[in-house]
Amino acid sequence: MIQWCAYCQSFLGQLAPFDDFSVTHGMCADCASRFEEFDSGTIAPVTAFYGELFSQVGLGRQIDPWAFLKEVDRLGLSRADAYLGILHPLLWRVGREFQEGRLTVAEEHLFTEAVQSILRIIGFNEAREACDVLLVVAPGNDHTIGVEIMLRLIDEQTDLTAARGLAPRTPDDLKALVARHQPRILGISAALPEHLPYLQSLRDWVDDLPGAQRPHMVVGGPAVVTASEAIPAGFQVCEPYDVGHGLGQLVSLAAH
Amino acid sequence: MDGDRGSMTQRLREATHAAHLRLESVPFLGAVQRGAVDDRDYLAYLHALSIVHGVLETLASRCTEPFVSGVWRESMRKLPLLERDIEEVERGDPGCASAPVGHALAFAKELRTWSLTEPARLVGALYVLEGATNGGRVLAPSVREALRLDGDDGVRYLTAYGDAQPEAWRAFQARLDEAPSVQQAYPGVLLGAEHTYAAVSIIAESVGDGPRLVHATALNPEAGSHRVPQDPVELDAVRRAAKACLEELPYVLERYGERGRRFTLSDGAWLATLPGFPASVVYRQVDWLARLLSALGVPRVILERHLRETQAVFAEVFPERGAEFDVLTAAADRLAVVARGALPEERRQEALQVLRSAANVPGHFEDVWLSMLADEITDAAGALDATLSWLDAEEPWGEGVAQACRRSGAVVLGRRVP
Repeated sequence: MIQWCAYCQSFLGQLAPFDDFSVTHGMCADCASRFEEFDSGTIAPVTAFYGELFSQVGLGRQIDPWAFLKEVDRLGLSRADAYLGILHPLLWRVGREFQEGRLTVAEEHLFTEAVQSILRIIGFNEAREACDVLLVVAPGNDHTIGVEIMLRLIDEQTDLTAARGLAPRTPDDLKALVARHQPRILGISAALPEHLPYLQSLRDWVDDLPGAQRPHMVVGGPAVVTASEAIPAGFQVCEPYDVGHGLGQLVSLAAH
Repeated sequence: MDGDRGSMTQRLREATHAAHLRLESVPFLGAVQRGAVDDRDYLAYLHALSIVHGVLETLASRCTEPFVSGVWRESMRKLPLLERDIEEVERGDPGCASAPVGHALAFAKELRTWSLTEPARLVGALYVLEGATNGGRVLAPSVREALRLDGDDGVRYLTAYGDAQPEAWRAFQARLDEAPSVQQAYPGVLLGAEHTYAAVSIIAESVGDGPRLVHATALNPEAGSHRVPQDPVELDAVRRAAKACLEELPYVLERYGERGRRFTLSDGAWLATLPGFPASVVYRQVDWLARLLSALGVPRVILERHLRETQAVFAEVFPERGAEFDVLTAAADRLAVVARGALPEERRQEALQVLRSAANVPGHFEDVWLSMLADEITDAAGALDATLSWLDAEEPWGEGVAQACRRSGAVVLGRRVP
């Protein structure tokens, strides 16, 4: 479930069951220190916004990225909360609705296109060369939205620098990538189990690098839910349902 | 029609003249014209076009927008021609360059979003691709000679209408010019045509680019992008398993026709890539597909049989790897357990008895219908209404079958099945 603070309209995180994409209310620590009564707040505007977006998807209507951003501002939501508490759960929900036959491939495409437009408009400060975190998608994985959201969160919520790159296909590719970006963390996104065997090669190549150059290895994406057993040792797993938690993992890793 | 500004087709021809010339100047098409094309590049081009046509033709045939349905005709389908050409040119080796496939998939995605946002653009795509049949006739002799093809082999797409080409093109233009709301639709049609010229140009420019591989769309142009075996022997095994499954449960062919055959093949190819993962991963993947298919009217029993056929064929073809494929049988067993849990034997027999009150319900469909009822109980698959509508409209096995299904459904579900 997707939990928002009923007082300040900030996203609190996801609660089990993680595949329940309904919105529920809670209270953040700041508000808890200021208010005694729990149930006097409301998240009705956020719930209505979330519901309206989903109904547009179901009606096969294109979400206007500018209107989306305007409404995010009008509701006083931070960009990070909009990614984590609205776009990210909607992506999962749309995927499930497609699987259950309630949305078509076309409707799913239209929605992901709108999300990509929103993310493009927002943009992020991408490190050109050296960076703390380098994110790549596994070869053959066309699903890049998760990585794009994470890049913006790193940019907006942390002091880390981040860039995206092409997944190395050979040990030399990796060496070139590490020489250019010198990342402390190499994060890879895998959508399907078929993207995971690549991780074994990647880890072997990283193990062959000189110790000082070896980045921490992190894997995220839906495959870590559907095929956790197939993830090779040496990778820290980034919880895909809860990107905020994953962000905390990156910050903590970078601090070591 | 707007007499001052000319007909839709005339305006389109003028407005897209430059885009048309750009397409014609792509070196690959020049090579085709000179008879200097090789079979690999030609195959890559046909393959990419099959993706575009596969998606576009499905969208156009299902579109309820009067402007689109006024222009579209079933006789415009080119995918069957492309599929035969590809089979004749590839000669058992379905691998081809990956770059044009990637461009075609990207354009297919655009087509799908147009079907929701501005269906008139689909007509622009049809205009370009239908117009291409005019030039196709000219190119066919060079291709035939360059690739040493006999008769229509490999050039059916280029010679789509044969001697009736001029009449077919004139009829298409007339439908376009006389379609409802033609003037309002013009900007969308033009954009669609311009995008299509650009997309086909990019495809033609990239025919030899990228690593050569067997892509899922080589088995089913509408499959999208997923893993399939690369070994020709494994691909043959996939084909055998799909064929056996369709013969055992012909419902898929009866209801979905060739499209059903193609998806059975590409799904089967994906299933064949699962052994090798831990069993729990395989089960989750199979469960995912089972849920997706059951919502689309393909109940679990069909996937269950497909898994068993795939295991049997692969174990026979690769006896030394037999145990590797046992996980597919285990996944099939799990689906069967789910079905039995939802519809215990006693209830199943009750439903069967009612179903058999209609003498003409074929045996294979009994299993399919009972599996649909089990899926409805398991996860409210929501496929019953569409299936009953299909039975009512098509009557594939004569009258009374739909009513018998409704009655048996009421027995099992304890509610009226509309």
